[in-house]
Amino acid sequence: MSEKTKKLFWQVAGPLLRRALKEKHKDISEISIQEVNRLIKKGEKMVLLDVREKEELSLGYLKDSIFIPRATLPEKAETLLPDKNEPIIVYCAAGVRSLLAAKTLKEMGYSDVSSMREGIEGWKKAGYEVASNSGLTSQQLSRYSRHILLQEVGAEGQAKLLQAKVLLVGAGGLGCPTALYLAAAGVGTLGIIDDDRVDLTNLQRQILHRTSDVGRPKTESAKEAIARINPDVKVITYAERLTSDNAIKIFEEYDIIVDGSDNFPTKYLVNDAAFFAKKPFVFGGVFQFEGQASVFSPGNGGPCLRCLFPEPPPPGLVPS
Amino acid sequence: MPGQVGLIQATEVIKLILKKGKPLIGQFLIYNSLEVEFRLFPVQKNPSCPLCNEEPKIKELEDYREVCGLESRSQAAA
Repeated sequence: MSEKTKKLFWQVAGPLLRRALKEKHKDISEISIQEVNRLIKKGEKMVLLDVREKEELSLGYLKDSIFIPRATLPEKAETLLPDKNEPIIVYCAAGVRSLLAAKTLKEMGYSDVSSMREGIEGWKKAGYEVASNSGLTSQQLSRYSRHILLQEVGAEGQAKLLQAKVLLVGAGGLGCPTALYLAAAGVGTLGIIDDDRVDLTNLQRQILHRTSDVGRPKTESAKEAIARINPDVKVITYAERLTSDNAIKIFEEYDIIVDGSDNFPTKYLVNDAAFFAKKPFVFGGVFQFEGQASVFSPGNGGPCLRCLFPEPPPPGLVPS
Repeated sequence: MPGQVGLIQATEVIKLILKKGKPLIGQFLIYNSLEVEFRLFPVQKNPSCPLCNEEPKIKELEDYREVCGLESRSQAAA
C-alpha cells in the first residue's frame, strides 16, 4: 500500500478500527475533544502530542503541539518529552494511531497518557479552531483535505484556487459541469455570463439547472446551485450577452476565461477579447458525439484559435 | 458529451491556477465518444495569424455576428 492509500484508509476506516482497538486495549484512556478543549481553555499544564506524519500537518494542528510521528516515538520520545509524569494528550487524524501511540508511551513508562477520541478531524468537525500555516479556516482545511494531501496541490495550492477568478462564458452544456467542479474544488470567484433563460430542452445536459428553474435566468439558477455546493465561492453574474462592447472590460476582471459557448461568433469574440485582455482562454466545443478542447494562450507562446482557423466558417456551412 | 468536455476544461483551469502538469497549450484534443478515442494534435503559432502575429490584421474587436452571418444565439449542441 502506498503512503497516500494508507492515509486515506486510516481516515475512512478510522472510527471502526478505533472501536476494535479500544476493545483490545481497554487500559488506554481516551479523552473527548470537548474535554481537551476545556482543559486548553483552563490553561491546564499538559503536553499536546501530534503523532501524524509531517505532510498531514498542513491540514491544521492544535496550537502549541509537539510533533513526533508515531513510528519515531521509541527513539524520540525520551528526548522531546523528558518528564514521564506530565499529562500527555496524544492525537492523530481520527483517533486510531493516537491510541497505538498512547500504548507505546505507556510501555515506555509515561504515566499519564490519554488519546484524543476522533482526532483532529473530529476537533475540526466540532467547530474548534486549529492552527495552520496556510491561512485557511478550520472548515476549509476539512473541506479541501483531499486536495491538501495531494503533493501537487497542498494547502498552498488550495489557497491559490481560493484566490483565483475564473469567468465562464455560458451556463449551458459545457459551462454547467465546469462550474460544478470548479465550485466544488474551491475556485474562489466564478463569473458567469449568459443572457439565456432555462428551457426544458436544456435540462438533459445543463446539470446546474433543475426542472423548477425552467423560465428563470440561467445566471440566477447557476448562482444558487453553486452556493448549495460551496458557500466559499463568490459568484458574479452577468445576465447579458457577451458583445464586442463589454467583453474586454469583463475579461480584465478575471485570471482565466472558459468558453462554454455554443456558436462561432461567440467563440471568435472570446478568442479575440481574451487575446486583447491577455488572458488564457480554455476552449471547448461539442458537436454531436465529438468533443474538442484546447487552451489558447498566445501570451505564453501558444497559438490562438485564429492560428488554427483564421476566419470563422462562412454562413450556411455551420451546423447549428 | 458536453459533460466530459466541460470537465476537461475544468481540469485545465485548475492546472493553470496551480501551474502544475502540462497544459493543453499548443495541443488540440479531439474526443470521439462513439469510438472512445482521444486524439491529441500538436498545434503551433501561425506566423500569418490575423490576430496574434507581429503585424496583425485585426487590431480591435469586430462585430462577430455579421462576420459569421449567424444569429449569435443558436440552440446548437452545446
